[in-house]
Amino acid sequence: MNCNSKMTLLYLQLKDLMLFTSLTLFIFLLLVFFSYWFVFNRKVKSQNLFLLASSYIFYGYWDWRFLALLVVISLSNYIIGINIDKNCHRPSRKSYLILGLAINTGTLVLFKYFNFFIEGFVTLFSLFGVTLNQLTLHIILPIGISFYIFLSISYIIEIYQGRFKAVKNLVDVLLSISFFPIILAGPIQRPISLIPQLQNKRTFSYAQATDGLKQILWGIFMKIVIADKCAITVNSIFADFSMYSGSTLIMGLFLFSIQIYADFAGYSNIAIGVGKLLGFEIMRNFGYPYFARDIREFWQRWNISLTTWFRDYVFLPIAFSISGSVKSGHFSLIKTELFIYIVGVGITWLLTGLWHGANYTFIIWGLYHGVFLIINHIAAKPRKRFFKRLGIHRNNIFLTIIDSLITFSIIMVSWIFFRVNNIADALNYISEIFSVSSFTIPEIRPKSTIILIILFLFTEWFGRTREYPIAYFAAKGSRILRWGLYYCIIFTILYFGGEKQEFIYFQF
Amino acid sequence: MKRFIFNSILFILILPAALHIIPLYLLYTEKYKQTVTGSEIYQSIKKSKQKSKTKKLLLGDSVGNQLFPNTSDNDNINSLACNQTIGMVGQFLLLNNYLNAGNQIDTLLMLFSPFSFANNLDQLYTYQYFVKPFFNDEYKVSFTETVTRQIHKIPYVNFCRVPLILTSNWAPDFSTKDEINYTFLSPISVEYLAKIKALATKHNFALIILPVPTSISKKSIIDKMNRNEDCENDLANEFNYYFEHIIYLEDENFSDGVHLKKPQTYTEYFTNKFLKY
Repeated sequence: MNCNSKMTLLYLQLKDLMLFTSLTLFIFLLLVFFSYWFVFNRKVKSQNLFLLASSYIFYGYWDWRFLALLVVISLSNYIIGINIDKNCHRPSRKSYLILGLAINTGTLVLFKYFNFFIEGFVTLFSLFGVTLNQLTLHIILPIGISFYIFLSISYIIEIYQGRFKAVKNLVDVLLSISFFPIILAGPIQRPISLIPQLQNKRTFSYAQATDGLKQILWGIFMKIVIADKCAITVNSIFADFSMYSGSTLIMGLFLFSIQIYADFAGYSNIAIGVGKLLGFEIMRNFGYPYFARDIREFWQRWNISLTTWFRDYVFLPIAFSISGSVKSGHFSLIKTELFIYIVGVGITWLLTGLWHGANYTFIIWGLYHGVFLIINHIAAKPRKRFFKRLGIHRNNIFLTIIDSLITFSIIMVSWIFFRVNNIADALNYISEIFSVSSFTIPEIRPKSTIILIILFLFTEWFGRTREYPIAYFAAKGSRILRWGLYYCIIFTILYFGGEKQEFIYFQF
Repeated sequence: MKRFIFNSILFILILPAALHIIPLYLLYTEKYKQTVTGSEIYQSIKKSKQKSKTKKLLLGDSVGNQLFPNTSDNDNINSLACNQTIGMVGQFLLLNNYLNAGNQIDTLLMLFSPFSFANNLDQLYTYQYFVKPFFNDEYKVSFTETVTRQIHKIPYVNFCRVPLILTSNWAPDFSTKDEINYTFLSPISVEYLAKIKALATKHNFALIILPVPTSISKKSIIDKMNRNEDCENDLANEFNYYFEHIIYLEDENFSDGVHLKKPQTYTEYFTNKFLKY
């Protein structure tokens, strides 16, 4: 089975999933909310036990068999965490860490990358004239595996590095890895910041709960109105892009850029909002990334929990390890500092790409970002000097707009690799864009999609100082105006909500 | 917590009224008929009630609508083609409207894909495309028992007249659990093709059923269709040449396996074929 058919199978499985925007989930949330605050509110332990049971029901609703995998992984990490903690002897601690990493990454590789690597080996050997019998397994990717494996890895590394004591309470550890708002697609709320919240008694806060509701509302709007609406046009354009003009392909790419942002950031908003309803503060995952002025800033605003995870557990260890073994000064013809940065970024972004999916397109996507981050790193100082010499301030409005547009264009091109099925398709898509037909009027239907996107981007721009844009508007005006705004958003969701689409990031 | 619950209940109580301000406006002005998914159905309904001097009428599915758009005026053919999702019952209702408006025709061309006749109002889109436009007092009287029974299997069918639902694209998730023992003609298609045939006899017009261009990759499925279903249901004459007339095209000619990339190429062919009669 190749990567694409694996993806199709996954989508078929997702059809039955308790979608985060479905009525089933709404009822589930209502039951959890009232039971949590009215029935299990006396003791922290009972609250946590109830949340763990709810999380397992939520996850098991999709496929109870994979619930067993989740429990096994969580238990392994619980045991390994305790063993790392109680061992003062450094080599033993390291052995347990390696065992933990092997279990976690081994599970991820088996379920997500097995066929990809096997196919890769067969292709590699065939280049040397050796024909191998291809062994591929029909493996279904358990939903959210990339997320809960990363939570588990984070848990044992933090203990190993001594930043966190292993938690003896089994329920707390299991819950920190399976907490239902974040298990399917993040944010990757590291146990180091979730467990302390689990250990303290939560008291209901009106402000936090209403804030959570508003954030959920905005998340649903992003998902159903913006992302799903874009998906209809994007799917038809990418399904047969050779028949469209260059300008329509650019428009399709723009719509996909909006779709993937609204889809993933929408999910994150819902997850964070649900967390708030239950008295938890979950880390922010998006900070208006498309308003970033350079690619480095973009990655400080996009999928923040994943980017910081890779920074802390991949990039920094690589950078420290190289800097310890390479002399300062120059390495070959480049400065050591730059050399370390290039190697660190290269490996980190190769893995980031691979994390997103077992396909060469994701690897190219990751490396593409890595290359632009390196270019950005090299160009930063000369650029600063250049504008200083011209007397142009960094906050000059025209410069800001030009910077943001250039950054957005770079990001937009990268999404081609993210969306298409193979590299050949990506290259064909790019070549179609750079054709004479790019100077024609694009064919986009329905026009209401474009109007909604413009409204959405304006709202994001005005509300960009807050965690989510409607918090800015909700902070102003009387109750009538505020409620009027919420009713308008609900109406838009009901009115413009078309075909339901699965969350893109569920596949990772 | 008390404040939270009180405000939540108040918010929910006001919600239905607040959500109906715009839908009521859309309903009153009938603007929703141009904005909702399936607006082509409303266009065909509107057109079916208008007076026309054209003697040739066309009913069809979405490919038929590509070949002869229901939005354009054609001196030779009056097209009411819209979508297969309305089933043969919807097509019959359009024809009935057209005749009741005092229009006279000499030929009725029905341009459908072989798969369109299997529609038994059991599809995901039935709610949006058939129930919303047709499940009302005006058309209910023309429903057979089979149709009534079938549409009541769809959840929330009685809510379809709620302004918010009617004027939006909301539809429940629905998939049939019926056992399907036909390959070509659904029970509803059989009933309403018979009714169309009866109208043809009564109003003395020719009834011609022709296939739309179809993807070659679907040929094997079409070949497996039980072609005796038309004979068994007294429709053999109407489908006499239907299968022989199927134009199979390479997959690359279709944007999604069904709809033509360049429909205008075939419009002329069908115009000639149609005008020949």
